[in-house]
Amino acid sequence: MTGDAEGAAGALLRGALRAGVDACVYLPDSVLFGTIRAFRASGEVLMVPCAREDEGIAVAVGLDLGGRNPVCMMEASGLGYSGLILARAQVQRTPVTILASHTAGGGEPMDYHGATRLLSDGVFRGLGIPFEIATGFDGLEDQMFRAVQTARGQRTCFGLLLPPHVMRGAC
Amino acid sequence: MDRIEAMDIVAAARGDAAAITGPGVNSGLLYARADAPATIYNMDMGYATAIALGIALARPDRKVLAIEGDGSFFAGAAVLSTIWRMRPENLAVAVLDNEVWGTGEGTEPTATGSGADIAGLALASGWDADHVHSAADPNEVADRMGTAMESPGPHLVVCKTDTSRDMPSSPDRPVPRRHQLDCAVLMRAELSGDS
Repeated sequence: MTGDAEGAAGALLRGALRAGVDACVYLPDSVLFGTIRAFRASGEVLMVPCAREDEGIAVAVGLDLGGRNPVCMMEASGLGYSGLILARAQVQRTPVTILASHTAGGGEPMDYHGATRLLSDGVFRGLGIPFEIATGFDGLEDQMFRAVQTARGQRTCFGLLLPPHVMRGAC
Repeated sequence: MDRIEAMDIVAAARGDAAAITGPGVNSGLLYARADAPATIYNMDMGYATAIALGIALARPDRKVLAIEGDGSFFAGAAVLSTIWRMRPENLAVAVLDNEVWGTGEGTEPTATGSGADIAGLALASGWDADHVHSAADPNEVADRMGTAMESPGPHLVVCKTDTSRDMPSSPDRPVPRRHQLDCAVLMRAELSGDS
């Protein structure tokens, strides 16, 4: 990981901890692996690797019901599996903050992320789930803090989409 | 053993466990037998056990029970590997396995109706055999549910049932009289001690 990429992961961790995040459900991802590593290394977050992204969101819903403050990390392709459980989370007001890599915007050079980038914004938009797209790691800590803060305060799921160039320090 | 007998046993074993039930008639049956504030009914297909896992991890001091039909459980069966990876001692999963989907006419065979073995799937997912139970006799199911609720888990209890008293989709089927939103609010309050 480059120094900038470590900075992005650290910024996300700091923002999450400031917002009281204490659990992370994840599936490994080429963009988010450094962030997952940083969360694990903090020793302050219960780490739960899952088998499928939709299962992970369901586990996070349970963590929320039990009083934890979870985030989910995944490649945005997993959002494609997750429409039903995200909808249920919205209906019953059990907030989950989701960090997902890839977006429908710029900075996506790989054809094999084509379906993923269509899904990311589309699932959130279709379900009326608020989301933001990170554009650089300046301010990323505050953006992460605000994402969790909004999810908790408004009892809504909230997406923070992370293009590869942001997380790899190639802004 | 039919579904009603099986649910009588599972409901009696619940105690003060937080419970998540899968979609369909099992939710109405539990509501009629062992309703409690810490209950979420009619969780969408494939997710009851995963949500129960999350609660169990968040609240290791509280027993948590997932109740699913075999169709719903199989749809989310990958969670077996996650449960065993995390091994929450306070989680029990009861699968009422009648080998048909309970929607519509209730006659369409599920995966277990074609030979799939949920207990075997747990073993193949790494579970120790003494945490995996499968029974069709009511006394044996009661015994296994007692073990699941009283000893360190996680435990999986597959209750094999016949379809003799199944209830196809109909307005006459028992349903929980609590909105999904209210279920979540009550669950959160109960688990936080604010109820």
